[in-house]
Amino acid sequence: MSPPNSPNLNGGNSADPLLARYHEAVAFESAKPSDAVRANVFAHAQRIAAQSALQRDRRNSTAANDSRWRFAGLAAAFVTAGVAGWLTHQYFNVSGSDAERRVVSAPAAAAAAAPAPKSESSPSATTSAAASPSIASNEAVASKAASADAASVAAASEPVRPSVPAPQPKAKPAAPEPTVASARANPAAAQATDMSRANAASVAAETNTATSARETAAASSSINRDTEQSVAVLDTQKRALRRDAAPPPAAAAAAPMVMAAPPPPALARPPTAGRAATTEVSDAAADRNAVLTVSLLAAVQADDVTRVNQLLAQGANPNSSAQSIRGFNELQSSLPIVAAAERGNMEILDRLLRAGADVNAMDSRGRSALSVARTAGREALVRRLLEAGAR
Amino acid sequence: MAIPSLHDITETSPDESLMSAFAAGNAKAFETLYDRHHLAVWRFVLRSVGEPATADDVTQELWIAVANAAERYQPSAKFRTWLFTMARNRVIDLSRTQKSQVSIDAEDDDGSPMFSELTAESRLGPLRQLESSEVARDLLQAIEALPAEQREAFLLQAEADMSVLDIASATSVSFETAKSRLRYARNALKALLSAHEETVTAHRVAAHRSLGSMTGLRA
Repeated sequence: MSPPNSPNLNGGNSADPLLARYHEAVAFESAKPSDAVRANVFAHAQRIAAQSALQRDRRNSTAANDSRWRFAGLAAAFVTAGVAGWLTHQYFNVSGSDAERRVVSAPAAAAAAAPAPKSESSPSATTSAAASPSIASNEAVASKAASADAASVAAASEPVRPSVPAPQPKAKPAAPEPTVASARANPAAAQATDMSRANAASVAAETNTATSARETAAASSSINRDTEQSVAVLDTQKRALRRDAAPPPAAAAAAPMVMAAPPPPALARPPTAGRAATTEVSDAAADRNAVLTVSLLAAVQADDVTRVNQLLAQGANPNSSAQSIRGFNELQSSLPIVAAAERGNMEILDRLLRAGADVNAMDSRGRSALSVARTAGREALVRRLLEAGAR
Repeated sequence: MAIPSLHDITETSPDESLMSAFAAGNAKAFETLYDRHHLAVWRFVLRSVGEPATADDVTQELWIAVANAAERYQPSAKFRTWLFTMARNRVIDLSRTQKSQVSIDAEDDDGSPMFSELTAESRLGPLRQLESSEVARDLLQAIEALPAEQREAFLLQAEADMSVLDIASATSVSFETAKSRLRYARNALKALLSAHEETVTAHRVAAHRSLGSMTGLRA
């Protein structure tokens, strides 16, 4: 028999009289979904949404907020600050050398401008070369430059002190030290000389090497007595000293980090150890609870009333869920009371209710004990659950 | 796919956008979805399982499963189709558990509605005494009395607004089978309505005659 009308192939539409009659009919219907369903579903949805929002925030959080990157950023900042400090230090040292060079050239110029003392000779070639700028001919300077190292070493054997006139033979008048002479002639030049000594001393202090300090100070003394060419030799020596004594850039960069990092306080250890101990204790408690939960679920699944009583006496939580415990997915239900309803074991259900099990708790699939008992047609359990307040 | 923000979600937003918004943490989007579809799904389940309390349980499980699956949801099909397919699967699971109900997948014998199976219980409440509600009651009872797969096909069309193609896909049958089931269901319901209206008309005529005779007796 051929049907009189073909079905609507495009889905329901309001022009279809049969569907219109159907929708009129359901409008008369008094039965409605339970409000408890709505409340339960919305509560579950709120939890899911909160978890999703949390996960999204974690995914969207910038790398700068990650603890690893925070630490790396902090370390990079320290390294940058260290490098900058080292470069600044180097810059001022180089500038100091330049100033030194300018300052040292001033007494030399002043000495050159002053009338040369009329001395015939000096005790040694070196002192004679240093004694009088007027004698500082090109040859003497050249020989001084050539023997700069030897002169420095020789001068370094003497302690750092202001230039004093060398002992002169009685027959010969004492030739005044050019520095002293220039200091007398020009106090500013003398002050600058002292500054140059201080600079040299500071360089020596940087190297933390006594020998280097003495050499540098001695070299500085010779600077005061020498011409600008000898200053260049001193600079060369100082640079060599700095090069030897200066830490490599990496070490220089790391140094501020070490200094900036506060030493671990002595009292920091006990609280850390305490926290670790607390964590261990809580981990152990969590493990014990997980074991009790799984054992309780297994006992319920096995209808083992004795074991259920035993586990509840040991502190097993009848409302604890096993859904988050790995390796126990084979448990059909994640809640003991739902499992008891599934098994239809009235004795265990009673025991769980007396132990404080939530009669309206839902498992991970949204099933309550009542819904499971009702679906399975277990009237006695349904009555007992309703008496206990299930809805 | 861009995740809709809270401000992008309105009452008229598409279902798929609401699901994406919920998966991104917007609980309000899920509530909008629920309010939009829960009655239709509940009616579909109710007509299939017969008991309001069981329908509550099944729909609660269904919506919780929807919430759990939101993160994995891919809008490859219409949300409504997906939702009703999930509802149907749960009804099948339930029927297998209870074993007392006729299996939805079982083939019907003749495809004709069994009027003797119409339940006496009605959920029409105080309106059942009204004439229009009688038609409604009888129609709903006739739907419940349909063979399971015909009822399912009709309800998927009436509640989920599915086309025959969608019904075939949701019920995992061929297009022709789905079309045939739907046609039988609709013809049975129309026949029932026609029979009912004839009966009502006959009763009315009888009532009028009775009333007229009583009036005549009084006169």
